[in-house]
Amino acid sequence: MADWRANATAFETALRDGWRDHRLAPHLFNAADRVRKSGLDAVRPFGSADLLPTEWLTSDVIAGLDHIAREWGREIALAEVRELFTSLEARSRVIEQQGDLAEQVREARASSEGRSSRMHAIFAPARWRILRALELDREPAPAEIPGTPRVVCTAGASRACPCSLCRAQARPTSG
Amino acid sequence: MFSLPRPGSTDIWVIDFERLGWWLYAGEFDNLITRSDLRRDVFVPLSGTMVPATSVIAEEYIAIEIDDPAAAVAIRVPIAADADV
Repeated sequence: MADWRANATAFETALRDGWRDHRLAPHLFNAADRVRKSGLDAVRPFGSADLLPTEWLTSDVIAGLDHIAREWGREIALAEVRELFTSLEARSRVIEQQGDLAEQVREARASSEGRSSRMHAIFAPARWRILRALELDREPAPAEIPGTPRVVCTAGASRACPCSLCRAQARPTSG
Repeated sequence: MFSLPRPGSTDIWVIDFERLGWWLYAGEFDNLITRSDLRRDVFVPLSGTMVPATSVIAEEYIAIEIDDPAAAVAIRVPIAADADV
């Protein structure tokens, strides 16, 4: 019989790896230099708990256990992003699409950014209609996981970014 | 731009993270606290029988502090929830 402690430790390690590999929201705050260490009074526990059959952790070989652990970690990382959206839905402006979507996204970016902002992010559902409207459908299929961004739009209209929003901003003006 | 798997959502969020607010954390920034406990008093179903369980907890200590809600705008795209991809 395999050692329970060793398998439990391996499971926890895989769980943390899956979480770390898929985190996005805190890294975006970090890139904007908006991360702050605080005391326990200002934060709350965030995560989840589950029960596993103990024999999964005492058998010599259980196929897929590493995958289960990594998926669990990924779910917690995705929940961080959902937590952000839940916070925003209650307080920020939500408008209906009207007319050209790419143009509306450009306007939203202009209305939300500060004077010298460098850290803008656009989150879009991985739906073909939306990607087509943003002229992103000619690129490879978008990553389904937040830890692997397909395109990073910078507020400075990076010439390296192929999305239509950045291309439009980076276009040289005449005259 | 990031594509996220959010079942049923058709919102596009545009966020300026420099204005939005803060990510608060206690402990380490990149550390998920995990703990496993061998339970002899809790059982879970496995292949039709109840077997002893191991409880696993994974948690971090965080908060999202929104300073300026105007730094984020959502555009709700009218697509039926069961339509396409």
